[in-house]
Amino acid sequence: MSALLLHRPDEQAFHDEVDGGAFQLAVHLGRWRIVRLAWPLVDIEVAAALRPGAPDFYGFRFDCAGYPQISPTARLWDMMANAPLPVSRWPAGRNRVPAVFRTDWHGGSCLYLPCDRNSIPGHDNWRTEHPAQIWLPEKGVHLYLEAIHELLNGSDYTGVRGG
Amino acid sequence: MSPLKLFLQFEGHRPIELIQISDDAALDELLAAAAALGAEIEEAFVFVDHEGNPLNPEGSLRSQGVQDKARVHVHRCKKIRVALNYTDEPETHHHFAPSVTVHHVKRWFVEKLEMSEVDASEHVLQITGTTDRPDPDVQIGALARGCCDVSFTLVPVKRVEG
Repeated sequence: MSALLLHRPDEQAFHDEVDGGAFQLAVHLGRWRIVRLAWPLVDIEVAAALRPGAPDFYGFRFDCAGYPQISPTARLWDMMANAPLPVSRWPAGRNRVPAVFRTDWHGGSCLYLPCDRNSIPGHDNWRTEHPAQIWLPEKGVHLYLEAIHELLNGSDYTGVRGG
Repeated sequence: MSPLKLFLQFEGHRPIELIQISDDAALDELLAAAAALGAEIEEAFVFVDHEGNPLNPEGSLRSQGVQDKARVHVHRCKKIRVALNYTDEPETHHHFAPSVTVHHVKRWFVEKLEMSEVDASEHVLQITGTTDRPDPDVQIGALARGCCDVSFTLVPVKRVEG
């Protein structure tokens, strides 16, 4: 008797979302793309606006354990080196961008966003100040990716720190 | 005959559905697919991308130029009357096809306000009287169920801090 190799429930839920229309439309429009998946780690590149000397995409490593009931946490990731992205290559900005990509928050191991699992604790004020960025299982990782994509494609984003 | 993958939204239905249908299918088949997902299809129109006019109910998808990965929208309203608000400016109204996206409406409004690119990228559309900020990809017909109206307020994006 052979056994079927099934995905864990959290991994299956993630696959279901990735196969869905909202995620696939964003992929089709070139907004983001999955590079690697080794559950619960998912490496995703997100498109950024053109800036001199800056990349077209930034890599992020998402830890999606417990998805979607538990929100993911994500950090900037160097896809080639398969390692955290050096700070000199982090996105830079005037106001909102540096407030999210912080080296002084958990050692740069997560984004300072309300939808990040490791950033929301202790920030109950965000539930009223940033309700649109509070994690919702029904919106899934699309919510997190949309927040990053909006930051990297707005006028506040100026390019790469070392650029 | 070849299969088309289409991104479908419909009246009052915010999720974006991915459907597969033959390119020689008639509109009735597309409407049936939408009905299976919960759409109200009696006297409904089918729109493609940002086209202002609905498809001809008699023609096939292929004959009307519907391409693979196109965005389609099913709605009983031919136009959505959109009310737009920003600070103390008088409320603005404009009619858009239901398949027009929130992003497209915002672009139209910030141009009308003569807002700079920099300022425009620091604002988003929020459904008036709520904290609901639909994704830019959402087609506005998905926000209007049982009516042909939607109201937005243009609000600044706040820096995350605290």
